[in-house]
Amino acid sequence: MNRFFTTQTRRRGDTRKIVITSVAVVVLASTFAASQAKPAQRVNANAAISAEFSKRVTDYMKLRQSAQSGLTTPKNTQSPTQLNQYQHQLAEHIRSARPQAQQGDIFAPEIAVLFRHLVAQSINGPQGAQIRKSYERAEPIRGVHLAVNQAYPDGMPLQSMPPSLLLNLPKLPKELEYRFVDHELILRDVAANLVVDFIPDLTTPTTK
Amino acid sequence: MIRKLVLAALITVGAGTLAFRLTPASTPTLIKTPAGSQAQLDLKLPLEQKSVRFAVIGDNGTGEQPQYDVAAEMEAYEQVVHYDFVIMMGDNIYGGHKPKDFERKFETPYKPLLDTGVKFYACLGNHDNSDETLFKPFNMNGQRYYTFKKGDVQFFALDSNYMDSAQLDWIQQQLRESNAKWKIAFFHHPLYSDGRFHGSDVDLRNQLMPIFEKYGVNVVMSGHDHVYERFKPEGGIYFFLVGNSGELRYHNLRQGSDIMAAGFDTDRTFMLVEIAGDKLYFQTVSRTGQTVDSGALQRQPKPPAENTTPTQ
Repeated sequence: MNRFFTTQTRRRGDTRKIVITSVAVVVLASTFAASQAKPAQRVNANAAISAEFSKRVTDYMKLRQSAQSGLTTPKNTQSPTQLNQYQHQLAEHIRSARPQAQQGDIFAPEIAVLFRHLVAQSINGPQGAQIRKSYERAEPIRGVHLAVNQAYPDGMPLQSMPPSLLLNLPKLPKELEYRFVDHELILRDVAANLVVDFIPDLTTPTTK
Repeated sequence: MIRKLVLAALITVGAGTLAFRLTPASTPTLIKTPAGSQAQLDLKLPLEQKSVRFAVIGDNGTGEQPQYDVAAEMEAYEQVVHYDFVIMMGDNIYGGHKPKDFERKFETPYKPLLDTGVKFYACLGNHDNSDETLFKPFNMNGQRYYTFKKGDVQFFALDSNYMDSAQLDWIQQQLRESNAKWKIAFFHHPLYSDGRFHGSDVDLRNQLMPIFEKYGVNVVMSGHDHVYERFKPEGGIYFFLVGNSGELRYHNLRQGSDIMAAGFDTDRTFMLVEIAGDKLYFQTVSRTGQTVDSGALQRQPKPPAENTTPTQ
């Protein structure tokens, strides 16, 4: 009896152990699966947002191409007047083609969130210290706010982009570039010298 | 490993013996100044036949008197050295980029040189506008980064303001394909600098140095810090900083640096370079005509990767 009881108890104990172990395995497995799924989902979400950003950039490039038609790029000109005229004309054509353009047209809210994440990831990553130094040593622009469709101010230096940070951002066609201006990341049309869009209140790589 | 040992030996010879040894032609040379009077030039270059000769300026485009003074010295030396071209380390035009700025900050000060056919090859600094790439006298052909060859020397002008993946791929490919004896890279932001205002750009250095070392870049020249500095070779590469051909940050060099070979931060300068065979001769001249640094450097051996002939 005792023996039976003991055996039964042992069996019951074994069963309990098996159940507990199984539950633990299931819980651990699902936790692991969930933890694995989250980054994958995030990657997918980020990929979708990046694709949306690329699409908006492509749309801008189409608009730009049509704005540029009729203008001749002054390749290898001796005349700075020609350079100035071309820049102003191109900017004017682009402005006319998107008169209602406003902040967020390209950097839509979810895209801005991704960029904030990518910038923060770089600044707080292993290259963070050198990115901050590189940023500070390139004469950061402070106390300036720019608007969409505004010309980048003549005479104001362009903040150099720390390479490690730049390499972490989505690629752009050569006609466009990212630049920091104070706490904003602007998308600049290079030849037109025009602010295409910007992300406000960004954490920039200033030295901690 | 072998390359490192050879380089170490060369560096010892180059920096210890050659770098500060004045070249034989150190006797004063008389020239006629634009005003008609005679002036003495303290020439340190050997002026060998068929050598590649050029001048280096950086952070020059202020449009102010010191830039004009440096330009006058450059003109005086051109009469003797007959250098063919000038490479510019960026900040070619400070401030506004109206036509009058191009005139006052570039065309007028260097008119005598431009008139004699001296070419200028620019790279972009943080004060430059991208439209400078289209300005013919800067010879950039609409490109932010480009390359050109003079004799045995190939130059690689980079845009250090915006070192994106396209540019990194480009420089890697260009260097890999280059069979030039001398490879000289120039761009605005210095990988090494003892300037207290800016200093070394370590983030940029981490991107570029592995490429430069792998593909055997011999010399790197930059600006940005408004001083003159020559460095002890780093990674087997000779580094120069010429950022005071218009601007100047007086007494800005960090004292007691262990990377500095020579420095000058009390006036503006420009640099003269002559490359003949395996030797690079240099002479750095101040706004007042004083030679503040000179010497000769031995060409480094090519890195092993370059020496290996690919098998089909």
